[in-house]
Amino acid sequence: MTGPEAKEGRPFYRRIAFWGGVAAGAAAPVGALYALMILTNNGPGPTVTIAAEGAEMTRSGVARVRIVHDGGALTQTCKGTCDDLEFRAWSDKEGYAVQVLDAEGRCLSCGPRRFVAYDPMGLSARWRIGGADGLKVTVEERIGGGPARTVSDPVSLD
Amino acid sequence: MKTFLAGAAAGAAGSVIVLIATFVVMGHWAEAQPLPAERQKSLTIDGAAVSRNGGAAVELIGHGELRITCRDGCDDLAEEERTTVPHAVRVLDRSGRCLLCRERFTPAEEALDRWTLDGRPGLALSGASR
Repeated sequence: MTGPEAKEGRPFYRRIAFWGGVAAGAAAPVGALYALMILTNNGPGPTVTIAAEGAEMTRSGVARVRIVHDGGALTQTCKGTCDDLEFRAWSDKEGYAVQVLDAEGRCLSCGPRRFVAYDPMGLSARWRIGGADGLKVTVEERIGGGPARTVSDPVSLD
Repeated sequence: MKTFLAGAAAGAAGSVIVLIATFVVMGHWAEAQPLPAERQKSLTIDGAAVSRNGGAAVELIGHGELRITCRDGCDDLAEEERTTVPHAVRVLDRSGRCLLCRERFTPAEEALDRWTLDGRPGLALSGASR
């Protein structure tokens, strides 16, 4: 027997359509997982961004900047004019605080610890230390891709 | 069409079962691995030594990515952290050329806790145990 009759008589597992379906069906969950991984990786940027303008910090009597997080701390000690600082981190579920100190170790600005989380709907925070008309520490907080909420950490220049 | 859909259902079910089994096995395997010991590590960078040797920027890759751009003399940097791996450290000159760049550490170096970057007489990064 040859031709269409023979095809109809074949058991299902010997038909090309069946194995084509198997291949398509097997690829679907793997493809969905791959798409999810790409979405997660390309989703949020850094959860922590800190930018400090050295010249303005020096004019305002800053001698030290400390980035404190749950795992430790990073300290920049100015020599002459403070250096410009840029910091980015992709931390997940961690608290961050930025302390701006004078030469005696007094806090010029020591805002509260802010929590960040890394996922497409995560929490991120951006600190900016500087300003052309006096030292300002501005913090922007953002949830996922939503709008940034700006808060200011108080600066004491007594 | 019915044959194709039956195949697709079988393929999807098989694929999901294989994926779940893989995640379960990987999860058990990861749990069975001993946790690496977390130790307090430190890194100090002598800004004066960096400046003396022509450094204009310092990059520190570890907990995050830090870059300082030197003005009239590089600042000192100190990092104290509970971590299991050392950091990548880069000292760059004004044209962005590497004066000292350490991107990788050997297992023996990873065991060291106290790292110092200073100039004696050239820039040198050295590690020591506590």
